[in-house]
Amino acid sequence: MRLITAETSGRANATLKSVWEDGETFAVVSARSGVANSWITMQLDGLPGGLETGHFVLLTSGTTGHPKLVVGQRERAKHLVSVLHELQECEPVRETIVTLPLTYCYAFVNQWLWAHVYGRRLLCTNGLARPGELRATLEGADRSMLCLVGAQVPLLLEYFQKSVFPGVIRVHFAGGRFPQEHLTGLRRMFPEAAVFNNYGCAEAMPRLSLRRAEQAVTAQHIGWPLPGVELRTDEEGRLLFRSRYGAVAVLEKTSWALVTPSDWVPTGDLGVLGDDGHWELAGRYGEVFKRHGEKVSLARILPAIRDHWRGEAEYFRTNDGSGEPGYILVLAPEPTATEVRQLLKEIGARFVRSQWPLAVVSVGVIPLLVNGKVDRQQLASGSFRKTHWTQHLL
Amino acid sequence: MSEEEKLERIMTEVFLLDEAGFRWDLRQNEVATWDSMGTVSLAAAIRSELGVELSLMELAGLHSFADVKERLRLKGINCGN
Repeated sequence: MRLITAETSGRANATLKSVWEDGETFAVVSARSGVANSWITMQLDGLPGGLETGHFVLLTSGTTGHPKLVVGQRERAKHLVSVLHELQECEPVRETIVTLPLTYCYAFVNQWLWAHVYGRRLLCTNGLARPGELRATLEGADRSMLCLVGAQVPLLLEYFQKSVFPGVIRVHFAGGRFPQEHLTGLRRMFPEAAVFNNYGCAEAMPRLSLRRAEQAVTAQHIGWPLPGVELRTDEEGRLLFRSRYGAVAVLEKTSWALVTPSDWVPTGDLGVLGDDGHWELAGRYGEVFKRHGEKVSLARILPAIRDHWRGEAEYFRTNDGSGEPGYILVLAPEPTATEVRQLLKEIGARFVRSQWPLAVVSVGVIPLLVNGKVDRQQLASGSFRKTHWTQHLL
Repeated sequence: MSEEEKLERIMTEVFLLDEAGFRWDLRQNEVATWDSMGTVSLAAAIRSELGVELSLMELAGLHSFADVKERLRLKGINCGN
């Protein structure tokens, strides 16, 4: 079993080609994952029997923020790639531009494996870390597919404000909230592109549902399940899946668990089924909780806050001094005192006290994980926060 | 900052009031954010910022900002008239 650590997507690509053909199961992780190779190697040594060949292993942060290893089966992944190739109408696409780490399941399957299976070009970049390089790649694009996460869009639009990239004909979003409010700017930047909202999770390896941008007007609408994928919710609204393409084993903390075809796997999201069979997200598992007996839905509260704040607004969960669940509202960049008062006035007008944040703090920039998702652990642990208001509690 | 100014700040923070809309004659039924948890929060703020403990009976008797001011005056906090 082979562990590949890669500094950049370019270096990962070079090694992946040879190991994929080799047949031996391999794990590919970012050199900057923050997880010790010794820990990964130790876990791989305990991989359940029968997975030593024909599989691959990826590292994800999981819903708890703790490292998790997921095992995909190569044939399943190739089957998913062919389904996506058809549904995303990729036949005209000649190349794909990589802006995310290839160690990230989304980029690995949607881009690297797709390019490998269909013999298309893979153009590796350092994403928005090197905007000049990315711009040059986009300007030279010829019938390209671009895969992004929503968190990249504000910077993309800022760096390349008036630029137009007609060579990009597919733009995919996954790995977080679909940037519905930026569609006009994206269409202006990529006038020839079909834009898709892709939904899934690492355990699904990674795709569960899909829609074209114009098929809905809300970010929560994640489209319809792919053929071979089933979705359902439990009694608490938690969205679960079964998929013929999903992971066959998962390691969380220190135990491997095999995933059987009949297992319903949690996505980490809450969901609601629409009338025509489409699904809508209703928040993350941890975003709905009870405080003093009242339901608190951060999926409902945060958008209302963002409507009245010029920057970014995020949260992290914590309990108050008496152990009652709550959340801290984090703003970026630092607000003025007037802005804080205005925001609090809006919060007070719209929500009951149990739904108010325990405190309002700010950071310079919202920290992100390498996959573009908010790094809530860093938010919770950062001593760089400035506090603007706190609830007084007994 | 005078005690009265401190108390006004406490009220605006606890009840998320606009400073421009603050009045000492505001009653509980005129402040949408003054519910039972709001009273508890007010008591916590007064304790931590003014060092005054209010009993459950005293809390139950507070129905306006003026009531709060009067209760604190009786406890030796000079919050003005």
